[in-house]
Amino acid sequence: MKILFQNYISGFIVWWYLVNLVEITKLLYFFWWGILESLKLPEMLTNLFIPLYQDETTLGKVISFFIRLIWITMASVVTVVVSVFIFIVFVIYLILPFLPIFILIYNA
Amino acid sequence: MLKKIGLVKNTEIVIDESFVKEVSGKEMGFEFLDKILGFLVCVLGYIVLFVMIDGFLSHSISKSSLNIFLSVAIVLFIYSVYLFRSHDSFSFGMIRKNLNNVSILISNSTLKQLNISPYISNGLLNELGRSSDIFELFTHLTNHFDIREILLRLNLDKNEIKDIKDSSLEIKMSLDEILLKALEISIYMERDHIDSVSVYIALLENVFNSPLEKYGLNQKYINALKLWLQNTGRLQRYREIYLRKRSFKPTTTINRALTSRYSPNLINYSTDLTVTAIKGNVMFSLARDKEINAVIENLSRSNKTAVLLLGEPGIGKSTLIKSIGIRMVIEQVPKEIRDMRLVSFNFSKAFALSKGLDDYKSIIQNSLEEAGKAKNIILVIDDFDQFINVRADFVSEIVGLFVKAYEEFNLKVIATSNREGFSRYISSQKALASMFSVVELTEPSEEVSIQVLLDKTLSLEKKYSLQISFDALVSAVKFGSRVMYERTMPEKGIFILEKACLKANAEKHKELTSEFVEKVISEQIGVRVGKLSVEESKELDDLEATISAKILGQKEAVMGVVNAIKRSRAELTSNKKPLASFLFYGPTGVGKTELAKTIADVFFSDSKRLIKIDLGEYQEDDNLARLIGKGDSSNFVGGELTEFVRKNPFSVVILDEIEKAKPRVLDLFLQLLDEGYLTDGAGRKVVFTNTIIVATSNVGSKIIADSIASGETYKQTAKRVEAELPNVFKVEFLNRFDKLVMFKPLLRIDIEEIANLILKEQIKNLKDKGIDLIYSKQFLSEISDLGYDPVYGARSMRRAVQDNVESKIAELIVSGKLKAGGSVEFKSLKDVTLT
Repeated sequence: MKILFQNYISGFIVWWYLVNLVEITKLLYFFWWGILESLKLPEMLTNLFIPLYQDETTLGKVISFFIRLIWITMASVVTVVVSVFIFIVFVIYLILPFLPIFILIYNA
Repeated sequence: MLKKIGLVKNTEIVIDESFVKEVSGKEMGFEFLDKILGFLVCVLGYIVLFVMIDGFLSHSISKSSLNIFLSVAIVLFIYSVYLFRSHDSFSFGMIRKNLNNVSILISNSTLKQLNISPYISNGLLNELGRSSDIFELFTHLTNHFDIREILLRLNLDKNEIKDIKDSSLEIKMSLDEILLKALEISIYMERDHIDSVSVYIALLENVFNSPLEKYGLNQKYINALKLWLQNTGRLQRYREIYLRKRSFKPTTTINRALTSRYSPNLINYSTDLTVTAIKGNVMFSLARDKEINAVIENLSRSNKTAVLLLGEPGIGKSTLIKSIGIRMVIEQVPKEIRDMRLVSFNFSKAFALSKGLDDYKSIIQNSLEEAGKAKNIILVIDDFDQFINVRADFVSEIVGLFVKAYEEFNLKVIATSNREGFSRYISSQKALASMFSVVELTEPSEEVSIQVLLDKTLSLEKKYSLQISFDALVSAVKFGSRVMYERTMPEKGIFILEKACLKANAEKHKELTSEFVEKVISEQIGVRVGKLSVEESKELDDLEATISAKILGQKEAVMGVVNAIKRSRAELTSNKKPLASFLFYGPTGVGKTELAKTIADVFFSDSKRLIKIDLGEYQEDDNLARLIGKGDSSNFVGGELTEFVRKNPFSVVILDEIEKAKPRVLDLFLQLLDEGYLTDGAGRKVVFTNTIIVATSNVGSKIIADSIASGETYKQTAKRVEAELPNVFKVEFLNRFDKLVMFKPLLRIDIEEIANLILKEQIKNLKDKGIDLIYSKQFLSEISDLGYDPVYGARSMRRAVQDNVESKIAELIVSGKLKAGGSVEFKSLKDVTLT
């Protein structure tokens, strides 16, 4: 009986909140990191005052600064949206086993 | 209850005995049961979902019921995910911890104590539970799928392995000790858990090593296996990072930060190795980690960022550069070069497409300028010596362009060259040579070569649908390193392995074994290598009789040579010296050269694999160049000795009349006998480890003749002459020979036998023309007298037969008196009749 309880009842809780949670967190982290990599946010920030394609003319420098600034603004917005989305997915994962209970209580 | 089982480094290793006892085996079958249940629960979830959707569409159920259906479906689906889980990471209510997280702490001795219970894999726990003793554990593990693959690699038969249970093997190790060994193996192989594979290897290494020796298992193979498993794991991890990161890498000429410049000229004459790495597969070797790190370290510096990879063709320079490309993609390089491109400049293409030297010069200038100004390019120039020496009168201009660009733009460059090219064209240009940090790639050791071949194994197995065993790799490296000296390891090993795979595939073999690889090498070089076959063993057994049939009257000399050859073939001699070396001394015309020729015929199956150097012709000091060659690469004249051995590495070298050699020449042979190689006039290493060296000398002829005539035995005479030899040769020179072989004067009976032997050859030749040759005893005696000379021995015997037999028969044939179907009888020298 103890084995059955460990394998099918308590085991599920431990697995969901300790083992699989780590995997889900890793997955979400890589997704978040992938978005950040695609947006090149760190590169744009560190090179904010460096002209694009080594165009050292005054006009080139000004245009480059504004293009980078617009890029950073847009990328920041996307990053925030993605971060919020990831946070919501994470919270849903945490409450998912209890969700049916809430639904049942709500409908009772 | 924690029980101490031993120490690894400074970490105390303990095990929770009660846990292992309680858990092991009890979970048996749960994994399968969970999968079945998972499937049923999932199906149930779909049914509930279907009923819910159906009810929703037909409006037959209430909203609250819909919610209940939905919640039940959610519960069923998430529970089915749990039931489908991998039991490797979580089973029996317990998390299986990953060993990689603590292995560094153990290696650094920063962990005081480690309980290994949570690190044991679920599969192993099951086997520990159902096995009553170590024999049973070994037998159970032998049936595992992953273990069967290991056995195939080791070329061991599963059924033979099971037989060892019946042997009277006494097991001296406890299970705890085996688990401790398995922990060490798991850490070395970078496994996630202490699993069935690591325990099985621990058992092979420590318990079943002796009984399995007869099946060909040895520690070298086990070490190679561990290395291979370590490599496979690492490559798998690299592959995961590579797949994750490559999609974020730019495939255009512009870097991620958009700070680089376009390089429109360079793009026409170059290949972007980073893009090749992004679009291709993870194909790189872990064997040259040290050299890769040295190159990366140099490139990441702020100045002196030119690296010269120095190594012979085929040593792995291109693979190393490709590996750097992969490292850049997976970002395992310092941030200074992380966002850069590895661009290989093809100067041959630039030269071919240029409209003249001025055009070529401007292409080079523009390309180097673009590479420098782009600021995201690491320029690769293969065969740098050829790049600067595209035309002899143009060297200084190209060097000037390169040095200027390097200094102006602080170029990051990886150039490659070989030793000869480096010493001739690069090191002589001081400004150029001082720019480079040299990273030398030496020919890898056997272990590293095996590792490189292991990296290739998976792709070869897939390509040729074969299973390649370890001993096949070991043979490719071991025998490969002794043949084909014009090529270098590991390229040579890969060539042999691919050739063997191709042949095995064509012959519909499913496994590639060492015997097959040895067969392929033997066919390639025309000489047998590897283990002695039954047929060859018999031939070697009969060697004395075979040689004695050709060399008459020299029983002791033949015996000495045969024994040395057997020792060499049984691989009991050093593999850094010639196969065998002899000094034949004694009177002239007694069969010294003939025995050397017979050795070539018998040992190398070809009497043409022989070179005779008459040292009487090398009396002048500058004659040394005739032996080893002279001149530079444009007008190099190869040496008679070194060129022959380079082309025929398996041959017999006769150094005739060695006593006449000049001291400088003798010193050369001293090195040859000692180190097994000579350096020729072009600076190339010519290896003599597959040759048999026979030096002949007439020293001591008089003593031998007198001693034998006075009735002394062979041994007594040999002792007397060998005491005299140091008066002629240096003692260290004499000591280098495997055997000093004395030839005694021929007896009358031997002379007649030699004459008989030559006449039998004539009979055979004439038989082919349909003519019979008959001769009497009196004729044999007369021709023996004629062919024997007290000074020159039996040397003129063949001439005597030519003059007195061949010439007379030729006369008869030409005059039409002797025709096919006829016969000629020699009763005496003067009495020749036709019958």
